[in-house]
Amino acid sequence: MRPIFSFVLTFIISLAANYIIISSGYWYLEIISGAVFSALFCRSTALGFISTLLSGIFAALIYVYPLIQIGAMNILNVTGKIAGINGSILFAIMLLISGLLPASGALIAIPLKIQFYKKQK
Amino acid sequence: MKFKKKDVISVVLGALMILLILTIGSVTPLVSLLNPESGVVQNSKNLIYKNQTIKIPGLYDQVTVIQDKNGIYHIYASNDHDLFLALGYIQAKNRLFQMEVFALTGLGNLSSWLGSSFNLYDRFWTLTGGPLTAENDWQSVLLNASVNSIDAQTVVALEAYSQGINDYIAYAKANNLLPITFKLLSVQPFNWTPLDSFAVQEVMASSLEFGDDALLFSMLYNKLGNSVYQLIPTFSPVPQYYYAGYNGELNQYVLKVSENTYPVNQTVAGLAYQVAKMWDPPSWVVNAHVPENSNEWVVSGNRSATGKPILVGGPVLSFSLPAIWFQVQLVDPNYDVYGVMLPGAPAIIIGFNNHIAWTLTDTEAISWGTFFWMQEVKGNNYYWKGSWYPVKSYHINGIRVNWTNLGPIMAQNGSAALVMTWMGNKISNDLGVLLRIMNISNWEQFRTALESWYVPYQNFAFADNNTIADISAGYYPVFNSTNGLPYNPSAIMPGNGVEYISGSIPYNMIAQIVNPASGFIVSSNQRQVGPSYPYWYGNTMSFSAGFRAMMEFNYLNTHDNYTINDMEELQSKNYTDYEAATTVPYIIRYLSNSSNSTVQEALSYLKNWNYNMNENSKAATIWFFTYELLFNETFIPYLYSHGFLPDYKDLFYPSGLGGSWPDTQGLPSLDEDMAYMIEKGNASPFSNETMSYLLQEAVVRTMDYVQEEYPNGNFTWGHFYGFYFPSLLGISAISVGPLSRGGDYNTPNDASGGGPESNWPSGGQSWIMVVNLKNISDSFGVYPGGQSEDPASPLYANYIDYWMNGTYLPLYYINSSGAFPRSLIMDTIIMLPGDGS
Repeated sequence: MRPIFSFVLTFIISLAANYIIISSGYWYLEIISGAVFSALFCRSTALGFISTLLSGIFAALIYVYPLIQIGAMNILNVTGKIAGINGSILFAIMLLISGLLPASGALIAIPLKIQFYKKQK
Repeated sequence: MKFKKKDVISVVLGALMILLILTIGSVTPLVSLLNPESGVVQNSKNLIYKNQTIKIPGLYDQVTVIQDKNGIYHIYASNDHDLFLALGYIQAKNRLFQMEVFALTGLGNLSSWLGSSFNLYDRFWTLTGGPLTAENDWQSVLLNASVNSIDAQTVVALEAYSQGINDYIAYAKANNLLPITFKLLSVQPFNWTPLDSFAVQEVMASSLEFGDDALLFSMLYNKLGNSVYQLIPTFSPVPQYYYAGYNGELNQYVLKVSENTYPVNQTVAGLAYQVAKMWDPPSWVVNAHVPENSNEWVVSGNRSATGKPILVGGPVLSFSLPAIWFQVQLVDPNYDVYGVMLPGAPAIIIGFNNHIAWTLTDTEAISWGTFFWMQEVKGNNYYWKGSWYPVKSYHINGIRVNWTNLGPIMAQNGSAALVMTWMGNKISNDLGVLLRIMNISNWEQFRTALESWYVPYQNFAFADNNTIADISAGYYPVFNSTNGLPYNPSAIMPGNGVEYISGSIPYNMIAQIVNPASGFIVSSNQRQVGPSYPYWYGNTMSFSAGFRAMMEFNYLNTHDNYTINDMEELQSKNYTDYEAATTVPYIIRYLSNSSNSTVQEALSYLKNWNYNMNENSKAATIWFFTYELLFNETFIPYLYSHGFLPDYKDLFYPSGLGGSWPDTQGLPSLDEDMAYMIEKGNASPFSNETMSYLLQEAVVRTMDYVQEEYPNGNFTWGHFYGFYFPSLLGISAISVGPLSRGGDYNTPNDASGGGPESNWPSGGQSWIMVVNLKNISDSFGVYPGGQSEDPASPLYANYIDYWMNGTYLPLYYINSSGAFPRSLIMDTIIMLPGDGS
């Protein structure tokens, strides 16, 4: 599969999976989602990392968008004030965590998959 | 198998990232707070105010809840059960964290949520008996519900209310909508029970009627001897307005009791010090530092422009965000009542119904209902009237609490035990009395209901269409002695049985008045009864100094045809300092011959002053600092020379105007002494200096200070005075203020505070209400805060601006949901019996 296709495929499937995972509340499961789908469709660690990172970020963004429209930024700003952090930075951290969880799964899974195939050969 | 280096790096990096996120997630709440599904962003769903229909377990029938355009809830139900269930649900939706913090405070279990720094406070509160009494109160209500209608009413209300709260907790948990404070602290709400409401009642009772004055008095007596009676006189040396009369000859028996203080030795004084040190709760605990500054007055129809009574309420409490009050109208076939209630206790405390209006202030009588005894305790036995009896032990919150017949042992050294009798520990159902008051219709019913009221001692001002009245309800103990003359109950008493509580002041003898000839009643924490009252009623230590009451009395006495607007102006915008009005003319007289140019400059301001503590007044600043410095020059050296200071400096270092100076304490007696000394022109016996000399020193130091602070000469009072509204847990980021405003300790809008170092009050009139008995729907009120505890909500602190400006909001009193004008509705919630979806 051409790298661009594997990138897009990983991104789309991970995005859907991450959205479902976020909806369930078990955020950490994104690690497994990133690992599984990057390992399935990507041969390049870099591509897998980027596609799952973006899928996690966009999944969170799509999930919280309706909440942003009804005042989630107010809540984040207040929480940020209490914690001494800007609300926008908290928002960015939320997206980053949501991206890094599957991306870290990808970083582990893809090299292991490559080694596994090497061994098979 | 051989890994390439870059693969190894990739795996290690991935593992490290996971480890880092997991670590952050386990040691901080950050990851759970930011979880898009269960974290704080979900709380934005609570920021939408829209019509909705919800199904609630336990409801019998449909309930309609209308939130009016100001955010006030109006609950319309078809039976009491549904009414209180809906109330619990709505209150929890808006104040769950605050309610549970109040309950934990009352149960002595704050540290379970807020950490070990609250262990000492939990221990103190558990020792006082508060948690035990809450349990006993509820058990007594359950036991008597079949024979006592008030108790039966209480059971219905509290059980339904608890279910409503728990329904909301279940809903909030299922939908990740718990308030953000729960998420920040990583704690879960506990299920509410009626016991928690009684715990809230105990906290409120302690905030209003619980004091360590008797300990301080004994420590002062220990150092000053009989001179303490000059420092803390039984009756005020300056004129007072006693609403319930008894202005005749001084009752000699009462005076003798007041000046018959039991002498304590150093061991006992040490125990008193130990207990008094424990007394101060964390500053944010519900109304931890309640100043004696509340206001209430009621005027009759023949003095009002409406031709019917007007009732004005302004209870002073510590501020917090969310505020102490929750504003609501409750309507069902038994109730149609409007007012404010405490989160956690489902009874309207101040408000009105179709027939009557009422408001409350603290009586502050009888040493705050808190008495101390020196009792002998050996092993597990205490001594009483020649015999030894076993101490009763209770294990509460992991603490062993020992009680004698007089109350809990607060401290012990060898066999010397300091035992406390607090009226708040008497088993009573004061919450039930409030529920009863909510649906009665005339003075006789009101007075009868209050016969069951024990604590906190409150002045209940009352008005209906034709009657104005006030009654200082409560269980006021009467002291007796086998030796004839009892010792002063405002100090530690001997606990060997010689002195004892023989009963209480008969109900028809407690302070009260109905339709006085003057056409008005003022009861603003001043002493209610004059010197001829035949019962011992406390000394000047606890009652307000009375200057505010005198100002209000003078206004009402010299005006007529009061309008609603007049009453609002008097309550919120009248900054006349009565003490200044009575003493500044003397100050000007004493200093008029001074050749000191600084003094003359100060006098030029004071001579043109109208005694209003306005924000833009420079004379107000001069008066405040001159008074404070004069106070210090007079009392502080005296207390040092008698050895009270510095021994007890960390416990009691007084300043004037109710302790308005930073890090000091107030004592009304000393403000009354000060005013009296200024008027008579000398400071004896507290200082040998002449009043002119002391005043000149104070004025010069004042002018030096203000000119140093404001070299441009702009030392207006607004730079030194205003209000601060702290968040419940003291988090400054979600607190409001300080905001400049006029007033001071002696004006109606206020609490003590002011002066340097931004020592601005964080207490004041926690609810201002003017009820028009001509047309009850034409009544007004506001409290400084908002209905929601969510700091992101537009309803978190939206009333503060109104309160600061003295602007009252209309109290929409609408008897049926169908009659509610659409233009006044923010949103409507239809509650149906169901599964909570």
